[in-house]
Amino acid sequence: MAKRYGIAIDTRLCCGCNSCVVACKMENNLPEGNFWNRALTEGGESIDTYAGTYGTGSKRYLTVSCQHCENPACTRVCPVSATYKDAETGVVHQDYDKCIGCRMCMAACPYTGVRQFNWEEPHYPLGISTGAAEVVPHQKHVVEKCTMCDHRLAVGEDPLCVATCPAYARFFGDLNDPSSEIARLIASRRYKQLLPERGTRPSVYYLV
Amino acid sequence: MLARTDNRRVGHEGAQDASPPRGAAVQPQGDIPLRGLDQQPREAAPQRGLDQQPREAVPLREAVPLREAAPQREAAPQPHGAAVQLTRRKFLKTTAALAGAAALSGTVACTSPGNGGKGTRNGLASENERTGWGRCYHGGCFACRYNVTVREGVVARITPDTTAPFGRRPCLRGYSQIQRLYATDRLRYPMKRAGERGEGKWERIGWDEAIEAIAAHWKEILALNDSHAIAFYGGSPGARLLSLATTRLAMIMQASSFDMSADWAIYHGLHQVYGAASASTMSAPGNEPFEDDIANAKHIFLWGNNLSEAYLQRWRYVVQAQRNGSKLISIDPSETTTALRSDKWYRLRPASDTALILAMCNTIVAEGLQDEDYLAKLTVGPFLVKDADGSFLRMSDLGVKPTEGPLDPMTGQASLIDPAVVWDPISKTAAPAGTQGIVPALTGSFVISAADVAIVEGPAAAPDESGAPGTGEASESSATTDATDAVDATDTTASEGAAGTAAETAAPGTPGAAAAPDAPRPAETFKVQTAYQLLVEHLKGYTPEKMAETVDMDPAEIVELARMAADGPVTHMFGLGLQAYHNGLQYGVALGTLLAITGQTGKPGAGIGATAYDFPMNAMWLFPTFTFTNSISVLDVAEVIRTGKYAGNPYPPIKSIFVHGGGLVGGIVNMNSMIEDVFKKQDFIVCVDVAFSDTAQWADILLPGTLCFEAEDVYISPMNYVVQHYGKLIDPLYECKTQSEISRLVGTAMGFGDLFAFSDEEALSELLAAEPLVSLGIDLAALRKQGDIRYAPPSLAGAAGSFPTPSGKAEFYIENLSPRIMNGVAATTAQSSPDKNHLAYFYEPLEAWPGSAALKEYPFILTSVRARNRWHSSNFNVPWLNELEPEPTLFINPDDAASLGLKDGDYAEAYNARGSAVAKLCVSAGMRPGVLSYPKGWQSHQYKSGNFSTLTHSMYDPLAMNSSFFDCAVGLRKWEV
Repeated sequence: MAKRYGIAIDTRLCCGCNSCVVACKMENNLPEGNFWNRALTEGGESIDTYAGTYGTGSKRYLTVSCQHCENPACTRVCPVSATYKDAETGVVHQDYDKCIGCRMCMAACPYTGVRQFNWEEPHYPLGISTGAAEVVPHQKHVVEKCTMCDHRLAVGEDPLCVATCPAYARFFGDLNDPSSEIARLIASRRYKQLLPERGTRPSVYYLV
Repeated sequence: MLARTDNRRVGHEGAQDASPPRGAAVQPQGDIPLRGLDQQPREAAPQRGLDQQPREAVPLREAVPLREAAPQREAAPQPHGAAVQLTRRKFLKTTAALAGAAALSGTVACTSPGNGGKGTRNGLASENERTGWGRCYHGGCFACRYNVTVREGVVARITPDTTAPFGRRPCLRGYSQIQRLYATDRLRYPMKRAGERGEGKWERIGWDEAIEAIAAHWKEILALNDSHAIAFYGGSPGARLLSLATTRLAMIMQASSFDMSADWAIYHGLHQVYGAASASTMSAPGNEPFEDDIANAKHIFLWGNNLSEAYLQRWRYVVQAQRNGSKLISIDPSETTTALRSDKWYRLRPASDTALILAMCNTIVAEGLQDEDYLAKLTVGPFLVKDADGSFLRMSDLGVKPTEGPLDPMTGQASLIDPAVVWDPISKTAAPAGTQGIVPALTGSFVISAADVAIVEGPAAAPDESGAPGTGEASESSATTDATDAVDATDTTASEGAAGTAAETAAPGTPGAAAAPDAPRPAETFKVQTAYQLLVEHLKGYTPEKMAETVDMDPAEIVELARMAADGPVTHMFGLGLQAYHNGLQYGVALGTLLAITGQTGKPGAGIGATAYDFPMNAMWLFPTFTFTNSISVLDVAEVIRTGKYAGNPYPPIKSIFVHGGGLVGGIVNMNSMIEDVFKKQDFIVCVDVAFSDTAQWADILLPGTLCFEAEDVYISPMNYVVQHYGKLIDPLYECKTQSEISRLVGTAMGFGDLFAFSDEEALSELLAAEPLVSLGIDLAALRKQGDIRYAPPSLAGAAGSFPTPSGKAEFYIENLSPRIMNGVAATTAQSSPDKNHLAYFYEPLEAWPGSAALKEYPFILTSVRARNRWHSSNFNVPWLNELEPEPTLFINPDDAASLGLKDGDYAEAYNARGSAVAKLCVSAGMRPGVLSYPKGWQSHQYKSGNFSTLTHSMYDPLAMNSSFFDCAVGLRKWEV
């Protein structure tokens, strides 16, 4: 059976530290302005703030990247098949060489901000490249997004956001394999998904 | 609602319905946070010079240090923006300097992004890659080990090392080390000041010129002044071994050294109670390793501790313990993420933690929850205290001569053993503390004379195996906490009949009593009470009801906390904010007292979970000439310079400061005073730094130091019983030099060449020449192979039955509370008077308290948090981090903001008579009303105006000699440009 790679995030362990965000930035050599993964605060208006009143405030962290949907909205609207779902792994890919920069995928994707468009030549304030050598170079006028660290998956490593989580809150694996840790977590824990009503069937799960 | 890290809103729900026509330019729509839309077009990134020689791949984890590194290429293409950045940083505009900067910048811009072109992979040949161990260095953090990839001479990648001890993974600070290395404002070569001090104009000079200038200035100063006219200050990099070369230089020169005086109040307080093998280690009775032990705790108290941000690497162990049944108790004025995830968050008034602990102790005693066995055996609880002067009654008072103990290694003199006296309720005699076979009375008042000393004949009694201390009346009286009942005149009045006859009191097995007095015993009688009796009496002033208003909590909550604190095993983990008040020392004493009466040391899951451990090192290497520095607190320096006096004696004028890797300006309190009263009074200032920090701006000579991938080094971690090795991954960039190399150059120029003739390798080997490292074979060769080596087995603090205090017991009753630094300010002038200093007590801080004069004028208490992306002031120049959180922020309660007409995102100015700071407001319901909080670490040039460090004061409790960062009242107003 084909694999369906997914990520589960234990929101009771995640403390919004942004380590996965910076690790992703480093590993994928993301240019200034781009974040494929972001730690959002669900609370007050600014990062790390609480909503409500003192003593009974509420705050939650959600790390959001491409949801690698089982039924992605983006792939259906791409006029040149630059974005497509890998049949073997379920990972949604983006081929920069095919992308014509129309941004239809960004409009179709209900998860705002996970896809990013390079309006300009990618810029690196320190003039150095970082991360895995296998990462495809970033280009002007294309859409890019989380690859689920496919270069790491290819050598049997977890995506770096998972492998680096200092809170050990992130889990990676094959959702189609009932014996995998992630499948067992999802079977045994309550979870939420982002915008399930859109019918995208995300491969990212938030354990609550 | 959702908040992005850049404070722009993101709507998950924000579907974009308007599909643009194919091929048409898409305009930014409503909510789509497309970064870069507002950015100016940029020139293309430079192409990487392809002229580099391929280098041999170095096998993983072999032959560390990795000696290969990028050759310095002189004529590399100028990287994007280098000159612009230099101008922005107000570098001197000399063409020579700029040309140099550009050329040097080029050496790191050798991998340009995207240069591989379409269809290729970054264009980075893997044969030019090698991977080795690297680790962070942030003083007091964990120095996590990870894999570092060096590609074409450039540090390009950091990935987790799954074999690292405790499974530590790099956090965002770890990944940031790459960008710290290549930061735009990394110091690249020696410079000398070219404009006014602090103006930011610099001229590049060579190392020879820099060292000559230092030596010439210092020799001039020393020709006319005492050696203490030159002062050294090191920040937290001072714990890696090679940086100790600077300490060695300062010792040889007999210079002044500035004591950092931060975070010490709590540890000095805990040291009073539980002692310290080394007074310079922030140690406390905590089990090692924390990571394994915490799982054993039933209750985990998090006192003002936002662990998940400030000490991220320990967070998962605490959460794991919680998942396994431990209860997390957060006690914090404001709601941190840690408080949010705790089983219960108790809200208290800032700076009132001591009052809370004492009220908890009151409850524990009132409810009989104290651990009497522990109190009797392991604390000074049974020690008899003289009513007359509050000192312990000692055997010498009863005519038993002190005996000689082991030699004091510092003085060479034999120590004197003169045990304190306890009361044995069974035999109704006075006995030396520690006498085996007796269970001393824990409570009671007595009148004692020499006649009460037991006559012991024959061998010592069997070792004490009794589990029930304080039997008889004493036990009952303790349960009722009624001291007067315990005064049993019939038992304890001196027996005249025994006087003069009880000459032979030797109790074999009890050193102090081993020597019998020859002279007749003194007839003096002493009215005494046990130390525990005094504590119980003292605690009566701290009932939950009496303290409820002080701590602003419901008395029932205090009782709840008290019961949990007595229901062990309990691990206490504190943050360092709650002790950053004028009354901070007492928090340490109070927490030690709580540990003592609840018996929470020496067993799994009990003790202090926020401690450093004493570590072995050959400290003799630091003072080869047996000369020493004179330590002056940073809090005293301005006054010493102003008055020319220290500790009441004339002190040489301090003419020159050598700062190595420390935030003397801005990293500590009262920044404006440091600039005006200290820095501006100097003839000559030298700074070693890695970036243009607030301190570096004030230098006359600025020297570029190295970061942790650029040199081999060793760190004997105080976080665990582990020695950690730093492999060298690349040669130092630009013209940067290691701390040891700089010290060697300066030391040699100052005429101490023979004392600096060591290589770095030799220095490391000498510093490692200490037990138990030598016996265990932990040397440089072994460290290069293994990376981390444990030098001691896991341990339970105090399990051996004694503590490193004068009495060997937990001294919650402090006979003499000694100042942390003897600076001549008499203890009697301290806020606390000596009689009070015997037992933990609460007093109000200077500014951060309702009704204080300061708070009347400036109504907010200003506190700070250890930001997740900083370590002290380091990492301020990391683009990745600054993209996420781009500017100084200030957190405020929604009602407070509303009352000032302020809203989230507004710029507001915090101000008081000392200074001001402008920051972007983050309105958060987690903030306690009346309290503001800012993430620490921003440098002045990153503010719209001012700096939070200008607001804090440098007043101190002379016993603690500690910076009261949080004891700070400020006003707040909207800031208009």
